[in-house]
Amino acid sequence: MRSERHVFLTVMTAAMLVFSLTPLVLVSVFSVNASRFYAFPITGLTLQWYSDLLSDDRIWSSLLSSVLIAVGVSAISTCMGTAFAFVVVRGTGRFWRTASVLGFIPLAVPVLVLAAALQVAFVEIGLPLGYGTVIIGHTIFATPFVVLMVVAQLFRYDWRLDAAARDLGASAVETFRHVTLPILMPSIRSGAILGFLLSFNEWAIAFFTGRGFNTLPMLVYSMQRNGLPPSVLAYSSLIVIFVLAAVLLLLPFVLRMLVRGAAQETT
Amino acid sequence: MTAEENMPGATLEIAELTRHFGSVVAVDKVSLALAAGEIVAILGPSGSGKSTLLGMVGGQLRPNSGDIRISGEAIVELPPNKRPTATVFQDYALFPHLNVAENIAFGLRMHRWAKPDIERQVAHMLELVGLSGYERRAISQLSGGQRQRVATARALAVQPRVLLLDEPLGALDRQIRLRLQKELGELLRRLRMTALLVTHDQQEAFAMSDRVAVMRNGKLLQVATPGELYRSPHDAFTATFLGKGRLLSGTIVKQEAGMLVVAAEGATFTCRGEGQSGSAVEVLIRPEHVLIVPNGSSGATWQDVTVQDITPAGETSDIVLARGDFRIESVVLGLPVHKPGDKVAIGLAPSGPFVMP
Repeated sequence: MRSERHVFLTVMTAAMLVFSLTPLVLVSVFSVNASRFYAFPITGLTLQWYSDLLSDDRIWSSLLSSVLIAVGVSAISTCMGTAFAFVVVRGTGRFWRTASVLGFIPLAVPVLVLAAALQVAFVEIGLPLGYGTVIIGHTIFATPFVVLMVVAQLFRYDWRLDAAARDLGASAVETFRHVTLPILMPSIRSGAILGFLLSFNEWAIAFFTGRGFNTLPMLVYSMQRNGLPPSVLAYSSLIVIFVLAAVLLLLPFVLRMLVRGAAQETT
Repeated sequence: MTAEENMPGATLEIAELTRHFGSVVAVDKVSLALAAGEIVAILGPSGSGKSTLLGMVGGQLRPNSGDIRISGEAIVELPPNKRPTATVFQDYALFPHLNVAENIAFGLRMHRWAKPDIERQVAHMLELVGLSGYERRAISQLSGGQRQRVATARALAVQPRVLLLDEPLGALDRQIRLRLQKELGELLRRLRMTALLVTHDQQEAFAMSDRVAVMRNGKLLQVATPGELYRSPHDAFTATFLGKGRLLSGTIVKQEAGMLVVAAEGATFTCRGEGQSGSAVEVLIRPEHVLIVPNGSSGATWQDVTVQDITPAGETSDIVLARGDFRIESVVLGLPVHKPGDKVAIGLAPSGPFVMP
């Protein structure tokens, strides 16, 4: 029984990995293929498409726009998400309970719908579309994810630590600064990375509410309108590597939370 | 600058303290006074309100009414960080992101001590609890007993006038608990610390404190020294919560040489206590006062008693004796010479049985 189950799990895991990684591997393979046509057999290796990509000035200005926006979104959504996580976990009474559910609605709304709605809203209230509107839109989109990250740790937070700090002479502010915040820092940091990535990779909201610049996803979208050039594959490969590195930063924390959660379930 | 000079214990007066949770009265007009340097344990089952009482002294909870004074100064209006108390929390509540020295230094930093003073005090505290050399250890690397010591050191470091301890040893294994009971009690006495201790463990209360307050359903039933409480409990709950024993209904026959003669279960015997002749009373007989003697012995209280059951409990054995429907427990050192089914008689130790008021 035990070994059968083991085989089953191995097969399923392998299938899942093949299924989810194949497109990424194909993109990487064709990004160094000498031919402009995406078909096997591989005709030769080249870094031509990478050099095309990196010599395109538009890439660098887009990268700058994307990073500027993502940094802003990461900072704002981390602060707001952390504060909101406290409302979710500690909020009592009908008002705060309702508020903590409403805050998660952006998670359930299709991003395209959110993007269109934001454009309408910004135009309606007369906010000029630009960096600011994209940052606001991305913040609305990313904050619930940050909240989830922080809430996961906050639900297990031992509030007696705060009581101990107060007992030892710390004011409420000092308690938050020296005890609550440092202990929550791993999940807040993960939330910040997640907020950055969500903004950095997001296309729809940027496309609908940004004017006067291209973020990287917007640029790639415009590049592939007349057929997919190989430099987009080169871009994709680089982005995959970048995101992979960021996820690896996140992963130990997420795994630790899962393991701890499971351990608490069993005790 | 020694700890002894640093930490003058203060008096603690609790007057008519009351706290409701909704319609439940968790603490009901409790009054209790601690002399400077006195250690008092509040002993009660879970839900008796003892932790609520402690929380109100520490400032984690606000009372609905009543007064708390430390050295005569009212503290009810003060937030926990302004109170001259420090708490050793249940399960310690040590800061997981700080090492041992940083945990102990936390309160001193909050009280704006100068850095060299903090270092000196931390070293002194670690020495006091026997953990010198553990400064840089992470909390997760410590055993339960070591965590307890760090929690004690962290609370003592801020030089509280009154130390509050919430089930300080409850999370520990029996053997470590017994050792720490002694150590912690001795430490508090050496520092002449006024301490209020909450526990559900009778042994812990008796081993560490000068007086024990028995609490039940939000009320203090009796406050007395451990010996007095055990020998002369004022009610059935206290009598049975603090050890084993049999409560018999009887009648006072007469008073004789400062003692009472009581008739119960077809026998008469002398008891400690007070009461009027002819009044119905409850008599407490502890197992160690029930002496097994050969059947037919003159002066035995009950004859023709059967040994019903023997339970060896290590250094002692518990023996259940039966006479008709009447059951009473005895205890002997080591293994008993009797077997179940033996016919014996019961003698009662002089000044053992107690007539409860």
